[in-house]
Amino acid sequence: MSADSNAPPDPGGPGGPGDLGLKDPAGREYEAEMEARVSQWMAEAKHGDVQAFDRLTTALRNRAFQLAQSWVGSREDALELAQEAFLKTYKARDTYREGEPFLPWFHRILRNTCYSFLRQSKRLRPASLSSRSQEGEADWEIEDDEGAPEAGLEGEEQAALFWKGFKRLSARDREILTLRHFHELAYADIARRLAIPEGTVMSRLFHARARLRAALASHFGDELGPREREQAKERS
Amino acid sequence: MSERVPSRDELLAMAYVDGELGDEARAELERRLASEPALRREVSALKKLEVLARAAAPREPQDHEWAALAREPLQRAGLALGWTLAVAGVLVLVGGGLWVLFTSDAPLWLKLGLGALVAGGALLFLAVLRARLRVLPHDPYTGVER
Repeated sequence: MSADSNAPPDPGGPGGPGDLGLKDPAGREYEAEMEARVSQWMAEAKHGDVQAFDRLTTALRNRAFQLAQSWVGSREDALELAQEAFLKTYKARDTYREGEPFLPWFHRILRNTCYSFLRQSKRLRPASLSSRSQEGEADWEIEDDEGAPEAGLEGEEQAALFWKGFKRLSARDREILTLRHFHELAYADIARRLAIPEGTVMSRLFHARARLRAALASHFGDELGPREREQAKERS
Repeated sequence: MSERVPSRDELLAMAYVDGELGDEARAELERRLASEPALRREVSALKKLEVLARAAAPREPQDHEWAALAREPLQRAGLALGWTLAVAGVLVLVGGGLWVLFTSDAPLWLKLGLGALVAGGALLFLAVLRARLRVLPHDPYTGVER
């Protein structure tokens, strides 16, 4: 990588992702459509349309499950927590402000539901000061549980190794990696979901991936880049 | 120790793999990839991570799993009520039966025999229950599904 073109653009700064030549976020129709649709359904549910809430739940439940599973690990717990988050959302429907995007609101409910569960099972503890992000925001370590999420049969062994590394990450790293890799959201959509600037999304994603690559380096060292392998060696 | 600020090239490589670069920036990066091995390595590593993550993505729950979950609260409530009623019935019948027996004119051998039978049964039940509760957290088969 050439040094002259390597000046850091401060992606997490208030100025955004710098002059990287990113795509225009307006070109990404799908997530905007989904946001508009579920927000509309939530507004209808608020006015007593139970079927609208059923449609909303069906549209979002698998995504909610994946996020919950990235935090809590167990498939059964993730299913129940996703369900619980929808129940809480329905109970709180009167507090939903129509016209505001539904997905960030629901994301907070789901996150709080999962964190409460982890706190009750004594698996959530504040991350050390050294792992604070550039934003200085506190993060959470999640104690490992038994087993790993069930992936498809193909590449099962690789998937198991992936989850071994993934579970060493903090709650915030797991969240952003899930939104990007499993939900395949664009930076702009992740920014809206988490209510953070797009530059902060890039910064968080970069660091989360670096930590994941370091965690996976012992299994995929040659494939995931020399820098991460060196980091892993230093740690061991 | 705080997080280091990523370099411009690291962010460019990441945005390229994530399909976030505009046409011009993408073409420029692809030109550079031909002559910059370090940048090429970074892109290749990120692509491999992407493929690995895709393969490891958790299996999405099927509709029947969600349907079973929706039925579960009702089933749990039914089971809890059923057990409560059954246990209450046994306690009332055993307690009442013993009271009737011991206050009746039945022969002493019958009272002692039935009393011992009930007490023995209760002790055996409690012993088995206690042993089961002690090993339950370590039982490797509790998570086995059909």
